[in-house]
Amino acid sequence: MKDKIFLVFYIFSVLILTNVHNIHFFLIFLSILILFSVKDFLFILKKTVVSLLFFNAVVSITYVFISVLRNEDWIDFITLFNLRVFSLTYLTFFFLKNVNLFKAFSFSKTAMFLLTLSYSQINNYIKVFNDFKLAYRSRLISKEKKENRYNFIKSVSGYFLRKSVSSSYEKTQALKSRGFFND
Amino acid sequence: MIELNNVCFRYNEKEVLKDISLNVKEGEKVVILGINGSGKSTLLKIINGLIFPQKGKYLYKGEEITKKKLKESSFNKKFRKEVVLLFQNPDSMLFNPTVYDEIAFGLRQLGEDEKNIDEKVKHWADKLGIYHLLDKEPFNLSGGEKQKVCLASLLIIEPEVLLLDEPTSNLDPGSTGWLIDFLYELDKTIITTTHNLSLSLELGNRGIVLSEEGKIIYDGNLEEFLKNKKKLIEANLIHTHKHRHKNIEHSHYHIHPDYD
Repeated sequence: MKDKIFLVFYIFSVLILTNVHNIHFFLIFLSILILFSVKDFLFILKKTVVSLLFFNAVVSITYVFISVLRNEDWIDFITLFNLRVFSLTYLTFFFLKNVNLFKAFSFSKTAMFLLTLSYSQINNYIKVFNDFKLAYRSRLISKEKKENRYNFIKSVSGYFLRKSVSSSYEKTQALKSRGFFND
Repeated sequence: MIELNNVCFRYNEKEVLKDISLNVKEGEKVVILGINGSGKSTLLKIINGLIFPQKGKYLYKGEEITKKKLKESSFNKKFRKEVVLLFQNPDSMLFNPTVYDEIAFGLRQLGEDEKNIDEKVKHWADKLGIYHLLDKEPFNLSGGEKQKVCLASLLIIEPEVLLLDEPTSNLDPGSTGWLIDFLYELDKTIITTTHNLSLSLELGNRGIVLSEEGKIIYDGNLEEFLKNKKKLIEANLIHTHKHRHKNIEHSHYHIHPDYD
């Protein structure tokens, strides 16, 4: 039950965070959230910053650059934008750290089906992708050439695409055989 | 040649290898036995300098292998040429557009001229029975063919140490037999991981056995180990189960394989 309540809280919070445009609200919300997550604060903060750094930096710098050229005010928008994205991401990591997703989505067979499918795919792919990277590193004798890197990226993407198709089909069949659905 | 002193390795919270110490001499053929999850692949990745122990030391020809050491390009080049790893999943090793390019990859990095490369690629492709596949895309091949392409692309650079991670796990019986014969004739230091007892004796004469907790519980003559039922049970490599004969209505505990 705790997980389902948490899920409702999460969805409700996401809706509010995407519709409110008040900097003070975000600051209060974040303070409360940090207070609740004080035990895992550093862990969640690190994940949040790593996930956002590139995206937020590119958007912010581009926006500031264009605003300066147009002689427009940018501070409020950039602050609001960064606070919003940061709050949403921090909230998501906080949610994932504290909730058993399988219990939270147990109210719907379809949701469980999608979750099982995605979860097992992600885990498998992380493991396989790490092996790809290690194998590539293991075979690099001299300095990496651009051509090799492109071939590697192309091959990995192709592998995952083919694997996704066949493994989704397999998993769908497995879930069907276990009575998740029947169509 | 290869020396590990009190090596420990953990993935996040889980300790995979505990206090591993071993020494492999040049030309030895070593088989690392252990059940799935006992840390066999992790051990090979450490020996290949892909991951580094949190505790303990790994020395190759007397040089400690660290992240920093492998950043030295001349040493990295020498090490990567001498110590190669065949991954359990051959797909993870194949990324070139054709089998030919895949096999030639190592030599091209070493800067050999294309005429020499062509000769060597054809020689190894012929030796491994994949000559007819040279123009094919690697991802379209069968598991056994992929394994052979990977082997050719490693052997072409004439490494000194060959690390094989469960080399027979994706192979059909025919290809398994072929691989065993092929490895038997290779005059190199070979370290192979497997959980297949019946094949292990064909892959080497020294056995290093890892327990489920990632500790070495045996290091010595492989044949002797396979006769030691107590050790086999300790490594969880054999099991007992109730056994029924055709019409005989009795059941008894049975151990596979029975070396006594």
